Amino acid sequence: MKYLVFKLKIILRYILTMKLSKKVYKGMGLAFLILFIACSPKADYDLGYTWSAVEISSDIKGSEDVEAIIAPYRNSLDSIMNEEIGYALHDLTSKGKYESTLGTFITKLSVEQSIASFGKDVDVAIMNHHGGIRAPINEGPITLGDVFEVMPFENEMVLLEISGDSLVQLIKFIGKTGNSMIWPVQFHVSESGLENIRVNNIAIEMDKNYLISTSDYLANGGSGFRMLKSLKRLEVPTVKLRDMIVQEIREQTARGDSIETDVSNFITTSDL
Amino acid sequence: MAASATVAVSPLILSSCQKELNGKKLTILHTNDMHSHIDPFEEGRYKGLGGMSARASAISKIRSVEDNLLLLDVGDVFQGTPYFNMFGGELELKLMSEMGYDATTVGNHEFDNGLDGLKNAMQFANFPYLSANYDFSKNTLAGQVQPYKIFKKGGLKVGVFGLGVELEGLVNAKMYGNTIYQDPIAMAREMVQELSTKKCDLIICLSHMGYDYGDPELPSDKRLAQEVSEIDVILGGHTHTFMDEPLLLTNSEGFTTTINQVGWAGINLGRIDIEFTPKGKGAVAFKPVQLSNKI
Repeated sequence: MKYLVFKLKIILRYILTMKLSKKVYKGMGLAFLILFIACSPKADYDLGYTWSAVEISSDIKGSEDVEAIIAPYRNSLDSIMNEEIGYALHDLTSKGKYESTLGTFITKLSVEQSIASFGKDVDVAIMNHHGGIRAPINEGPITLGDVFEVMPFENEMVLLEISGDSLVQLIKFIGKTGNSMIWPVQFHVSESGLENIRVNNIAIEMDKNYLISTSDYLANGGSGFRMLKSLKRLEVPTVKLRDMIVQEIREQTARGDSIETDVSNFITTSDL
Repeated sequence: MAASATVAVSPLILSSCQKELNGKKLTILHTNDMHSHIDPFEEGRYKGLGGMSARASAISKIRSVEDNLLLLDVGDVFQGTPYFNMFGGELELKLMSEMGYDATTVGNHEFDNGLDGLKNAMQFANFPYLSANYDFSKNTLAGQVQPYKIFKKGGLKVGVFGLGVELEGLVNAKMYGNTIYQDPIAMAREMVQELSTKKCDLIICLSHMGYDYGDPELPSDKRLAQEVSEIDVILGGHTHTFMDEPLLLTNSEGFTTTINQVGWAGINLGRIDIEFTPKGKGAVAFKPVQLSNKI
């Protein structure tokens, strides 16, 4: 006890003179820890909560300081994004369970642009249809900004090699979940599952290898596509899906065409 | 010996710790998944809502009346508008710095321009990135992300730590490189121990794991509150969940955690006020919900 009091006096003197050697400080930490456990202040209290969700609406006058920071960025962005890159003859949307106008436009251009950019015989394209397409393309002039809204993500194109029998399994998965779009693939959905599965109107050969064009997001197993992770990936240059869409619109416009896409109606369903 | 030490020093310590917390108050303001929504929505169901300039005004208004305030974000600051595609997150982080954010965590979309992209953008943030379960020690972000930070607000010690979602299958592996995802529940246990040892009066988790998946295998905010006690508040993100009111979840050990998440895109600013009241003196531990949508 006497020794301890002596020790504490030394410690206190060290505190007062601020001459804390590392060793003494460590010892003190231990002593204080014991004391705080004994006292446990938090346990003596209840926590009273109130909360709210403050809606950030246009009723609130914006901060001038913040506006001043945004202004140069907004101006620079507007001039880039307002560029008209094409014209849509009708609204292109992702409405439709298995097929849609915008889904068809994007999967079709994925196949065609992949063939043109990578020089490979791509058979089918798969898109994250209801999660990946974030906005429609409305009838009228198409700006670069519109394409950024359709595809805000930085997804890159990936080419995957798949055997015929695995492709059938993949198409069955797409038919079952109904969240993705695959093109040009025909099938019939009935109560017992998928029937008459064909690629480009030709029956799938089980021992043949097919080439899929898709986004890295799906190829990495996103949206439940775990079966894509193990497939062989072809080495291709880095091209973003968004840039491919922009490229397609620019090319069609350069040819004097406007953007229009019909749903292929490749997929039929029985009344379930 | 230990007992003698207590007798010798405790009067000083006890008096300080008992008077310390009574009536102490903390205001937490929080956002999640703002997804580069610098400007308010121009169309659609959220037309006129959001916008960082209006959010800044709301925050300063609350700051002008609340002394002890923490402004926290729960990740996915990046991606969603061309502002991100063109400027890589620079503007978002400049504005958050201007608003006085105290911390954010690393959401899955923070990896969208790779580790280098995140590192470049981070120089525009004057607040820390907190993540306890992403290990960046072997890549370019080593030393740039810390597991937790302790804030001292008006006599309160508030420990804040961050947790992120599983990256595999969600984020392009090329983008997160050799970042190691560690079990968030186990890391949360470590954090609680660490922050308790450091005598924090409140523990807050910034969780970008998602609110609830109804799957016991998948880590979520609800599972975290069920499995780990002593986290007072979990501020959530990732699932873009709009909650009518926070969930007060009492787990099997009897500990109650408050879980809240405010949708996405900066449409709402979450606010939680916490007040220490002597045990049993207040009528109820949790006051009724006060929903005030207008500033």
